[in-house]
Amino acid sequence: MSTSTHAHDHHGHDAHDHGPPAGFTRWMYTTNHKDIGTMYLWFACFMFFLGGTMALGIRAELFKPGLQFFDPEFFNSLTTVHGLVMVFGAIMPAFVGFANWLVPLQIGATDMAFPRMNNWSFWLLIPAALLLIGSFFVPGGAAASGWTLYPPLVIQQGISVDMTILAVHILGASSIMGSINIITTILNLRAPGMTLMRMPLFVWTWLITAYLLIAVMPVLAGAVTMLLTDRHFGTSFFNAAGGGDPTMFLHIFWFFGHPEVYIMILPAFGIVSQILPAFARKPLFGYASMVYATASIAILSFIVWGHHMFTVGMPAAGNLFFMYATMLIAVPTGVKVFNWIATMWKGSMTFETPMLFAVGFLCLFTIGGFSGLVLAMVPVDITLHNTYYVVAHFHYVLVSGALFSIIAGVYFWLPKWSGHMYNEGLGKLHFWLSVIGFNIAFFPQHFLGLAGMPRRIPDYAPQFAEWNMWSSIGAFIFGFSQLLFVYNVISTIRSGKKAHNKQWEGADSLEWTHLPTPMPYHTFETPPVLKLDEHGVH
Amino acid sequence: MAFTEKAHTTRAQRKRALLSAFALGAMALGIYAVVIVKFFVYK
Repeated sequence: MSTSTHAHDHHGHDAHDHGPPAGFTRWMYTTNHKDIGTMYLWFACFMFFLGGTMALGIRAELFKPGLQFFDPEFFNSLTTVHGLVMVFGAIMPAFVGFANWLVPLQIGATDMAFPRMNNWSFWLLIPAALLLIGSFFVPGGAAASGWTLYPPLVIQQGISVDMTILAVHILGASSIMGSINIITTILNLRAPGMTLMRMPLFVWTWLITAYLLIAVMPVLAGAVTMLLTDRHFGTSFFNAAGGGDPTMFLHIFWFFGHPEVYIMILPAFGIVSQILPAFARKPLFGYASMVYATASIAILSFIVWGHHMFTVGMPAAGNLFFMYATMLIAVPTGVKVFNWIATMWKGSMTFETPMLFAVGFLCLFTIGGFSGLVLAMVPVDITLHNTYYVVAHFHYVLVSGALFSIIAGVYFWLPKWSGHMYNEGLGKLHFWLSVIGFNIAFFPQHFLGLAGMPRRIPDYAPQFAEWNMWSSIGAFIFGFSQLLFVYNVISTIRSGKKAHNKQWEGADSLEWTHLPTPMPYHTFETPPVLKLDEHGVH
Repeated sequence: MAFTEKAHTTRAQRKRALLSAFALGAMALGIYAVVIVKFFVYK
């Protein structure tokens, strides 16, 4: 759908526009939202490949029964740090990168409200990542308790757990500062005429996500602080040996953990809600209901944490409450899925790479949603708890959900960000290899879970061998196909052909309609003049 | 362009932004404090 359309005006940037300073200091001291967004995205990319390498180590070990490469303790460290790196190092920073790039542009603001705090939020990630990675090299090896850091195992391990706890504190502080910045920017720096209900849906989803982050990150920080005092300062919050209650940690952790799941998927909804209308060449169906559904999902996310712990022995009434509350989330999520389908219905659709990944998201995320409903049922969950069915479920949500939307977003906005168009053929090859590899990797894990294979084990009974082999083959196809993505992005930035001002004719947010390609270093130093018609804000 | 350089924002916007930031920061610290204090008392 590449068009020769050029943006009709270039207002929004000054004639005296100046570029960035040269060298490393540009990145070290930058307060520019575009630079910081770029750094977040590259950091997320590096951590994605780091976590991906661990994932391939896990799948290599599980290729056949028996111990191949790793001892069980190291295998547990791999699963633990893979989870932490992917959640806190890859998915979340990638979405913050998108927020940095797009929120000011889509609301017509010059920059984020607190650019210096923005710089600090990013650079805090580096020591946190070093602590996480460095924990592999200390005596006793990296934390091996799973990303959930459950006691009592986590109380018994070595210094690596302290490094992990410190890393989680730092990451939490970074996320909270980033969220304060995003909320403040959206609420205070919108261009005249950009009312809340005219904002692009990506901005809405990030506004709600930022509130979620501020509400739950301190809860995680509190939980890991208590772990730290249990380990070193003689308290017994969670240590049964001292009269503490390990189950209490589960409650506190998952009060954070379930909203965290939505922190990782609401911005994905926002990205997909930008891409589908652009390639269907129709406005988003049911804009207001999308906003209300996003808010409903966020509110409901606070009352469903117990579905992660149906097997700990809660009262039946508690189990029932969490079961029904969890099922209730299917309603606003269904509203979103049907609105996306209605957006595409009778649209003039074309299937460039961003659209392929967005449609892939829609199909595969829905499968993850359905398996979530299966797990929401208490009697079923008691059987499937801690099996590979759960692993399959959350990878359908987080890989083909969150990650696919990130990839779709990069392909969608890369022409605007870099001024160059990516290689469409390579992008489509990347998509098909990703979809095929992903499904070969994770769909058989449903079968393994239903057959009773537990998660977080380096060895397994021979009857699980065949599907594990297929799962490992799929994982390697998926993993190596991501190298195509990195190659495509780098070659686009370095030598891609020039992109048009409005590369996608159906895109209608301000960065496409009001700014040239590539964008000047500073944008909207004069607030844009917005016109409102039946298609939204222009 | 840094917000604090005051080039492209009004005084009212800056005031509101600072108030929002302090309120949100206080909310985060408050939640952290409640979690810790509640469980110190509980235990």
